[in-house]
Amino acid sequence: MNEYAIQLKNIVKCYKDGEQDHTVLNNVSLNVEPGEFVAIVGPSGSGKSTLLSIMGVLLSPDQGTIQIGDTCVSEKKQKEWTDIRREQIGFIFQNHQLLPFLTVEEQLKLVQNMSKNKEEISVKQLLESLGLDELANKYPSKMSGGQKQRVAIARAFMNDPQVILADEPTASLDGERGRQVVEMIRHETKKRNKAAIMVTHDERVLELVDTIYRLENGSLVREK
Amino acid sequence: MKLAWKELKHDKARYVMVEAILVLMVFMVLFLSGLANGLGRAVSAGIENADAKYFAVNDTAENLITISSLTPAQVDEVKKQATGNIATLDIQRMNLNTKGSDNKIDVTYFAIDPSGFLAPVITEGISLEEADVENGIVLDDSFKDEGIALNDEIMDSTTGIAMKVVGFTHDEYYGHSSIGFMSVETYTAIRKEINPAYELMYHAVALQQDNMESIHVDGVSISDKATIIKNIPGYSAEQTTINMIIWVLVVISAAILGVFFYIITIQKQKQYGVLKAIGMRMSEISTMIIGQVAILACVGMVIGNALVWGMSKVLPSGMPFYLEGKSAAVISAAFMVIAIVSSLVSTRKVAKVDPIVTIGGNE
Repeated sequence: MNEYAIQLKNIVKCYKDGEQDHTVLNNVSLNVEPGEFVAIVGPSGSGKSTLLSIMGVLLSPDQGTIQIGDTCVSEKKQKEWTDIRREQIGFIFQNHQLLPFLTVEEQLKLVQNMSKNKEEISVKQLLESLGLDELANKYPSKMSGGQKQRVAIARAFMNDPQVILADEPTASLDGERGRQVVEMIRHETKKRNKAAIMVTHDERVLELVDTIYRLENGSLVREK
Repeated sequence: MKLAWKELKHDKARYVMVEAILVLMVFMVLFLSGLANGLGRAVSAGIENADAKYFAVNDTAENLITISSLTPAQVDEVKKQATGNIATLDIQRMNLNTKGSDNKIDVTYFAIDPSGFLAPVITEGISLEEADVENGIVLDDSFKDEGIALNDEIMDSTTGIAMKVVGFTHDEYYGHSSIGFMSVETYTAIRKEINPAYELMYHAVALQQDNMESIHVDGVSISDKATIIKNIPGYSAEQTTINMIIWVLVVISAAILGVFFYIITIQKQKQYGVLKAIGMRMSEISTMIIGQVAILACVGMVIGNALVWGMSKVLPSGMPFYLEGKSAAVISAAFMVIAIVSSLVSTRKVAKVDPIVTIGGNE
């Protein structure tokens, strides 16, 4: 068993910008332990989304290796990426991205049914622990922004993943609700001993995380 | 499949619209096909309805009954060699008018043996055999629109020979004209009135047997029913045109449906991106898309067929409509296949969606 939930080694990613090659990530390495809550901050355009996409097995790096739990992603074919995401990663997107046609309970069941870790987490218990049990039969269109984002958090944990990846989870929320949402991610991360990585530029929630990295000019620097 | 259904249920407004388009397309194609068949039947129904598999005609007649002629001797020989029942048939296009009116009405006489198997199904009145009157006639019920009623006396326009309408039958046409069934005696009387030198001849012999090999008579050729129908003047040309129209409609419908599915899919691109990001396999996503289309198409088939059936009940009799369950099923099945194939274009589009669209960048 690997000691880290996710491990990035010397990741390099370049984009073609017209004639020039633009290096977005230059030799980025990152280790996150189970139970650790990490924030990655940086100005827009610094490559945070690119880094998150690589960690989320949505994009392949030009160089370097990624290991999620015991799975070495770099060795897997692109065809198998979907299954890695399905089993090992929980996404929290910027705008909840819940499916409009499913109730809260159905959203979670969908993820549960796709995952191999079927019986690990009960939908009911998860909803209760996130204070969402009253929303179980509601559709996303009938919920507030904060509620939707909380359901999205529940969905991310539903497949019992190694790693939770949150992409600006507070972007569409006001200060108080944003804080509640991040507290919730922290709470579940600790309780379930998952690694959580949050990309954000919301400075107000940074006191809730264990470690802060700043991404600037392609390099990742530890701040706290 | 469950997901497919849930989305349809949730997004009713959008899918009811798609369903409406589908239903209209199915309705249009089925309805036109019914009318087209009706038109085809206006040419061929008289032969089509005949309970015969083969027809014997003169071998120089090129399978066209109306220009064929068989001598009684040839007919006897055919009868001898036949393994099943036979019945003679004469077809003659003439005019008739009601008593006291000069208005000529187009008619095709079918001269038959009243007790043979070519006798038409009676929908009103009695059959020629039962009536057993001199110069009885059974008319297609479209003559009712001309004001002819049961037991009326009508006249053959050319000869003035009076005939009594003993019964009506339904859906009996030949070459776009309605049929009047009469006995060979009445027919011979009419022919003799026109030409006193007329000798008894027959146009054709209908055969009920299952094959044509047993019959070899000099000057006689045997053809199956389909060949005879195909050789009715105008029939093939009309059918080709009509079928062309129908299948062009089917293809256009397919294109329109494909575009609709495609637009809906494009609107939901981000949603498919999310599904992929959270680890749904493309096979599962395409099952969902195709499942939705299959559900829509099935419902569309049922409603479309029901509408056409309802419509066919209220059409006037002058507008022949004829749709067999079998051809409705073929068209419906073709539509199902087309709907699903056209959704494959959308599926391909979804396959190309990169789940990375879900990360960062607010659109």
